[in-house]
Amino acid sequence: MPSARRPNGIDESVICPVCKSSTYLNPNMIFKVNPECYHKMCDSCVERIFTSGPAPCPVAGCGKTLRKNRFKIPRFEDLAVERECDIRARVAQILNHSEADFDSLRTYNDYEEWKEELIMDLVSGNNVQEWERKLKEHAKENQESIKANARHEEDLREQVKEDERVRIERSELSRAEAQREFQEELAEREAGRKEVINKILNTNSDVLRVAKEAESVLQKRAAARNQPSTANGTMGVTSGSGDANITGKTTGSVGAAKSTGFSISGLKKIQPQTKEVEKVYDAFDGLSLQFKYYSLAEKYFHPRSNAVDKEKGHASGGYLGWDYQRRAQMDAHAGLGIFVEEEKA
Amino acid sequence: MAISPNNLEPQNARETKAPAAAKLKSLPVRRNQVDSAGKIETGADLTEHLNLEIKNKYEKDRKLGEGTYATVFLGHLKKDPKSEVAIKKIKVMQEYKDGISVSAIREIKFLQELSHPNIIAMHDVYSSKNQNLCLVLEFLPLGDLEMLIRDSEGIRYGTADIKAWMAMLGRGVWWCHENFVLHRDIKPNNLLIAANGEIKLADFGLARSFADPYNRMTWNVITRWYRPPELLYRARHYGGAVDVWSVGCVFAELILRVPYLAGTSDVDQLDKICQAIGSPTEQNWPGVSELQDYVKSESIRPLQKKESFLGLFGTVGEGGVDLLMSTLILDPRRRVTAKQFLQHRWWTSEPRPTKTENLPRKGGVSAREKVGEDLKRRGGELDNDKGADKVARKLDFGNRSKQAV
Ligand SMILES: Nc1ncnc2c1ncn2[C@@H]1O[C@H](COP(=O)(O)OP(=O)(O)O)[C@@H](O)[C@H]1O
Ligand SMILES: [Mg+2]
Ligand SMILES: [Zn+2]
Ligand SMILES: [Zn+2]
Repeated sequence: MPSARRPNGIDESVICPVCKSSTYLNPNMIFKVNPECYHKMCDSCVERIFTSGPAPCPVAGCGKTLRKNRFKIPRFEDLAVERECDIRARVAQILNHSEADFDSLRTYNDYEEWKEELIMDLVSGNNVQEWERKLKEHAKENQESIKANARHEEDLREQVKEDERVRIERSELSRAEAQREFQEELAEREAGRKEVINKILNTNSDVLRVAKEAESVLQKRAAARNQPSTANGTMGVTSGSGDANITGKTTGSVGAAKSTGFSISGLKKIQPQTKEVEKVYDAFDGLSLQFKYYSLAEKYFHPRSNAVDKEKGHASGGYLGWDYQRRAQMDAHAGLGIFVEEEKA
Repeated sequence: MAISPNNLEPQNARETKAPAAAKLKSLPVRRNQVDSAGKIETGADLTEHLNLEIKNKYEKDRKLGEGTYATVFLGHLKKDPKSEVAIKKIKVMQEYKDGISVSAIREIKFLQELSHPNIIAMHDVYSSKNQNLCLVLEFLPLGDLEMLIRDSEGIRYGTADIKAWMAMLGRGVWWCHENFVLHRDIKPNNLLIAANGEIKLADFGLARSFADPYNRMTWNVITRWYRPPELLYRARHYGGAVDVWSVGCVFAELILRVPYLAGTSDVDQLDKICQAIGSPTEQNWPGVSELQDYVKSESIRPLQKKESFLGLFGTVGEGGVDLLMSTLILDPRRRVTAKQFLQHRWWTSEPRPTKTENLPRKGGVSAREKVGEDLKRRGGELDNDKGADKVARKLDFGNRSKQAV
């Protein structure tokens, strides 16, 4: 029996005993064996010799009649092992009884002993003819129970396969589930974190202190340059109110802005007015809104908000399209004091 | 962080402010990149770090009071043990697993945006170890307006004092409305008093911005006694007029020293309004019948004449009564706006409003001691409105949200 050695180097290639072609020249060559004689030969020899029908084994001194459909790729490198496995499988197909098929444990044990002896003899080639005849007889006599056992075994195998399939499916599902939950949790945490970051950054007084310092430095520099705001171009248009009270006052955060220490986009800030002693009481307490970059028109053409005043349940509930227009104006102009590039930085 | 177009002096506006704002944003980014050891700090580390930094600035002292959704503690800066702040710890509600409730976000959002002497200032926000949000607010040691109103034995006040308080309330509300924020919970108990006697609008847990057209809001806001008829009729679109009505109710309560319209249910509340002011009809309030819960009452009460108001509220003078009546007009479109409220002739008529420093107040330390007790008591009293608050607080506050808030 030729030993099947794995080609473990370029020099040590395997040669087909039939056609002498080598794995060195044809690395994709496949070897097959037939359980009749376990002589190894290449796949193209199998095709060439046995396609037209059963033929004798071409290996010198063998001559066993082989059929193409019984050729197979060996599972084991050691073909003796391959052969024993095949024998065991074939015997097990016939001697497929379980303990329950016997009237006593003793008879079952006898059966197992007998089976083992038979297999060993078949493997080593002792009394092969006799054992084969006995097997055939047994198969004939116990046809019914063998078939039943086979079916039962098949069922068991199916069951095991099914169980395995379900188990995999379940574990995949639960893995997917766990994965999904984990992702969701991550996303939630991330969202929460972003929110907290925003809040904290918006209120962090250290950040603000640094920003304020920077601001005051810049203010000083700007004051030194003494450049008028018209340098800003088109947007430096001051609207209406030429409030005399605010002249001469220096810039900087005033009023409540100081106590809170932060501001947000588009919000109106307090403009201080120098209060004079016992002037007429001003219910606005000297605060007024200065519109630097825009002034409000009396009415805006905005179909949606104009129409809303005529909408049922809007105006009667006190909802005013005018409020929306004013807010839209504020939002639209909220960005005018900002350099987009620097904001992005 | 954008800069308001309204807050800048003409000169150098863009040169000075904008880069400062930019700096504000770029700073954390720079910090985010490399720490002293040269390793990259992650966003989470940074947040933790900043959060801890803020948290460690403050020391929590005793409990000051408890509200619907928050417990308020006295605290101080570690650097300055004499300083005082109020730490408002938002209660974690079951509905909010992440520990940040909608009302807390509302409060943070609006307090960050609004900065005015008559609106409570927020110094910081941080989260405690159980993910509880803590707002660091200016400490307002002299209790609230409700305590002053109720203490009729200990505290006497007159028209000039009422005028000063109402002007401060008016300014706070006006500022909110100018910035398109609806407070939606104005009542004496949410008007806190600073050490200098100033009134501060507090508790922005129900606030939201003015809605976009067609965007439905919830009617279930404002503690009932201060709730305007349009909300009792469950209007879904409303405006600043709802807060103005509440201002009117506070005004009346300041004069009477008892709640003016103290309904025991929503139906009773409407009934009290009909009795005191008149029944809403299509004549005095065009379109009122469109509102969801409007029911035409069998017995129409005519609008009350000025004489009857003068009888009840005459102590503040004709001008004061005129102003009060203008805040309690049934039709929200005809009610005064916060701005018009402040433009009224009453403010410049005699008597002149009391100077803040001379306003009646609870005396120093003893009053402060009492604050905690009283707040606890009121927390319990508000029970009948807690339900309403909770419902409203569950809803989203976003402008673009389809949910009605
Ligand atoms: N800044 C503060 N200084 C002193 N006491 C405060 C301050 N903020 C709140 N309180 C007291 O704590 C209580 C709860 O606060 P509040 O903001 O009204 O919470 P809630 O929204 O739960 O009603 C209030 O009754 C108030 O008097
Ligand atoms: Mg409250
Ligand atoms: Zn070959
Ligand atoms: Zn052979």
